[in-house]
Amino acid sequence: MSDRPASKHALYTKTERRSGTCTVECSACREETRVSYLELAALLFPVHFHVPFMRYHHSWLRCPACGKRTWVRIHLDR
Amino acid sequence: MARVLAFANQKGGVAKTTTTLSIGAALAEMGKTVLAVDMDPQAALTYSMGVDPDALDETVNDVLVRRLPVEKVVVSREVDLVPANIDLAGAEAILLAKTGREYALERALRDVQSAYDYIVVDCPPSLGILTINGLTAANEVVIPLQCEALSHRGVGQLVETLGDIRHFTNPNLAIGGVIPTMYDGRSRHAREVLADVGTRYELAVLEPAVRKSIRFAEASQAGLSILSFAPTHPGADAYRELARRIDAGPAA
Repeated sequence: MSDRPASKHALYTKTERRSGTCTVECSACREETRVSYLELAALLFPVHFHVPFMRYHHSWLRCPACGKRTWVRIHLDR
Repeated sequence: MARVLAFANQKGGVAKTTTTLSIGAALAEMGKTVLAVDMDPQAALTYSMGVDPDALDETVNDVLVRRLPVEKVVVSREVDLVPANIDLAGAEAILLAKTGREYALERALRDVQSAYDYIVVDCPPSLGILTINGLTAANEVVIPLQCEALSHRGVGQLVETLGDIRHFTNPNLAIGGVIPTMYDGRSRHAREVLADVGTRYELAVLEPAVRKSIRFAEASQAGLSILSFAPTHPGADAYRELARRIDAGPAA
């Protein structure tokens, strides 16, 4: 795969990925937001739940886009 | 869960829309519930299903950009339709600024996956973000191919893009195969192109080939699929057979 930023691969979110970041997809506002792991830790505070395998949006925490406490999916690979 | 089929080929005028609608209508004839999604700003699928694109207030553009639920824009025709109009051209620019832009359609379809057996997606004739959305949301891609020399180049580029899609967004994307369209069996050239595309790119060629006919254009103008417009036409029979093959499982 080419690393040229102006290539056709620039169409893909994954090519924007910086180390130490992931994305949070919100079930309420449906936005997907890139956050650093530090920001993610702040979103998890003071309370959060995770129900892996039970549902698509498997984590309950504050969405960085809409600010609501809701079910989200954390994409560590994007 | 619905099986999502994307009909893609960045070359224009290869009967992508006709194939999307005809396969959708043939699957519906088999008793399957089908949702057709128009991802082309030219809205050919919407027009071909008898809906005036310019008279629509809400379209797939609102689904992708405003996150409107799919159910709110569905129009009932031969099969259910998520329509498009020229507003979709703007969605491309808006999506390009968003994280997770490739997943906008996949996210939207997640809500209606359980309501349908099949979702057929008509991709635009380009390899931009709208096509990437269609391919990211799909389980399989079907490639309508007009059997002429320039088609080779298009298929090569599309196969490269499918590799990118598998790498970046949808590792499980299968290639359902190539559907030969506008086929003229009398021409040796058409037969040679078809054989070459199959072997060069190791793609399954789904048969029968669909022959060229003015009846397809007449059906589009009437806002119907060829299966409703001319049920006994050989083109309608070809699409019925192709739909049976698709329903039987992925070819590759």
